[in-house]
Amino acid sequence: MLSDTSTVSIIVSLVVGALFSYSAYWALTIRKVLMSYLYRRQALWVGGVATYFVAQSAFVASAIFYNATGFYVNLLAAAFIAVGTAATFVWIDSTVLVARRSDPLQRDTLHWSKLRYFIGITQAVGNFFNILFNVIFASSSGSSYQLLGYPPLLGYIGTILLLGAVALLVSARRSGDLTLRRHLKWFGLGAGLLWVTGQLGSPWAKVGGDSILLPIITYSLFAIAAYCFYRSAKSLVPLGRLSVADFAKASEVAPSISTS
Amino acid sequence: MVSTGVGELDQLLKEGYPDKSAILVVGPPGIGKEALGYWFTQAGLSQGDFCLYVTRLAVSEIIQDVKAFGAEIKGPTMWFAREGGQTKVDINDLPGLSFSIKETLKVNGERPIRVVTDILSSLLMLNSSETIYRFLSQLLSETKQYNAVILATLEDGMHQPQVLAAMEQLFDGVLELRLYEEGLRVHPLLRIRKMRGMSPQPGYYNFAFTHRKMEITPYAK
Repeated sequence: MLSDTSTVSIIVSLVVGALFSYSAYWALTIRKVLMSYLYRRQALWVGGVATYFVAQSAFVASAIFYNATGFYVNLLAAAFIAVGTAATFVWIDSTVLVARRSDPLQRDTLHWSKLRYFIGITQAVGNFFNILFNVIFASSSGSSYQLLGYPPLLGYIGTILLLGAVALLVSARRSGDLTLRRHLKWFGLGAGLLWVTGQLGSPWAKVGGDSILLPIITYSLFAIAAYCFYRSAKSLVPLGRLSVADFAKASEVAPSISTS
Repeated sequence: MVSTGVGELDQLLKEGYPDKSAILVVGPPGIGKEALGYWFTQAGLSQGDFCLYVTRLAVSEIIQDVKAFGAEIKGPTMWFAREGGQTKVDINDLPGLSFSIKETLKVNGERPIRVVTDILSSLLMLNSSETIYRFLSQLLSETKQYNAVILATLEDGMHQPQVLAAMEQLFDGVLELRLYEEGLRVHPLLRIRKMRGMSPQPGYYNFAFTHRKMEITPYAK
C-alpha cells in the first residue's frame, strides 16, 4: 500500500510529465516549420530537454510506485543525470549559436567556438566518472542518496554548465533579439526552479523530518518549472493568431491563385 | 516586372516585383525569408542582370545556406560581406556603406540591377530607428534612379512594432512570412501586405520549401 506522500508524488509526477510532453510537442512542431539549420537545431534541443524531463518524471513515478531500489536503479538514475546535463549543454550550445547569428556584430562570445569543445568534453568526462562512482558507492554502501550522483562530480559538472550559461546570457544581451530574450527568460526561470527542486530533494532539506509538505512544495515547483518550459517552447518564434475576420477575407481571395 | 525567381510568387504578384521598386520581406528568424533573396539573385544571374548581395554574414555562410535551400548562386555576383566579398561590410559605417553601394550601381547602371540585403535588422540594432529611416529613405530613392529592384529582409520579433511599421512605409512592396497558431498546429503563411500597382491583398497563402523550390498554395481554414 502506498503512503499519502508517495501517492501525491506519483500524481504530480504524471501531471509534470504531461506538461513537459506538451512543451516537447510545441518545440518539435515549431521545428518542423522552420527552415534555417541553426533555428531548427535550437528547437530540436528545447524539445530534447523537455522529452528528457518526461522520461525523468516517468522514472521517478515508477521508482516510487514499485519502491524500486538497488544497483540498476542507481545506475539508471546516474545515467539520467548524465543525459540531462548533456541535453542541457547541447541546448545551451545551439542557443548561443542562434544568439551569435542575431548579434549584429557576430561576436564570438567568450570564444564560444572553442569553449564549446572544452565544455562538451569535460562535462562528458565528468558524467562518465559520475556514473562510475555512483555504481561503485551504491554497490558498497547501499545508501539511497547516490540517486543524486556523486556530489563533488555533480558540483564540477554544474560549474561547467554554469560557464555555458554565462556565455549564453552574454550572447543574448549582445544579440538584442527580443524573441530570444523572451525564450531565455522562460527557459532560465524553468531551469532555476528545477535547481531549487533539486535542492529540496537533497539530504539537508530533510532535516525537518519527513513531512508531506516537502514533496508537495517540491512537486508544485516542478510543475511550475514544467509550465515555464512550455512557455519557452512557445516563445521560440513569434506565433500569430488569425482572427475570424482574417479567415473570411482570406477565403474571398484565395481561390484566384492557381499553382503549377 | 522583374521575376521573383519563384514561379508561384510571380503568378501571385502578376509577373513579379514592379520595376524600380524596393521590396521588404518581413518574418521571424529561421522561417526562410532569405530564400526569396537567393532565388531572386539566381533568377537575375540567369538573365544576365547585375546582382549585388549586401550581407552582414560571410560569403561562405550565405553559400552554405543557399545550398541548403537547393538554390544556386552561379555567376558574377558582387558581394558586400563581412568576409569573403569584393567589399568588406562595416555596418557601423553608414556613409561608407551608402557610398559603396551607390558607386557600384553607378558603374553597372547600364544593366538591370538586383540588390539583395539582410543588414537592415543589424543596422536597426546598432542605430536609432530615426537614423536608419533617414539613411534608408535616401539610399532607396537614389538607387531607384537606376533600373534596380532592391529586396531587403527584416527580422520580425527583434524590433518594436512601431519600428517595423516605419520601415514598411519606405518600401513599395511588403511580403510577410509568419507562423500562425491554429489549435495544436502551426502554419507558415505568406501575405502580400502591399505591392505597388496592386490592390490591397488580404489573402493568406500557405508556403513550404521543398528541394529547389518554394510552394505556395491558397490558405483555407
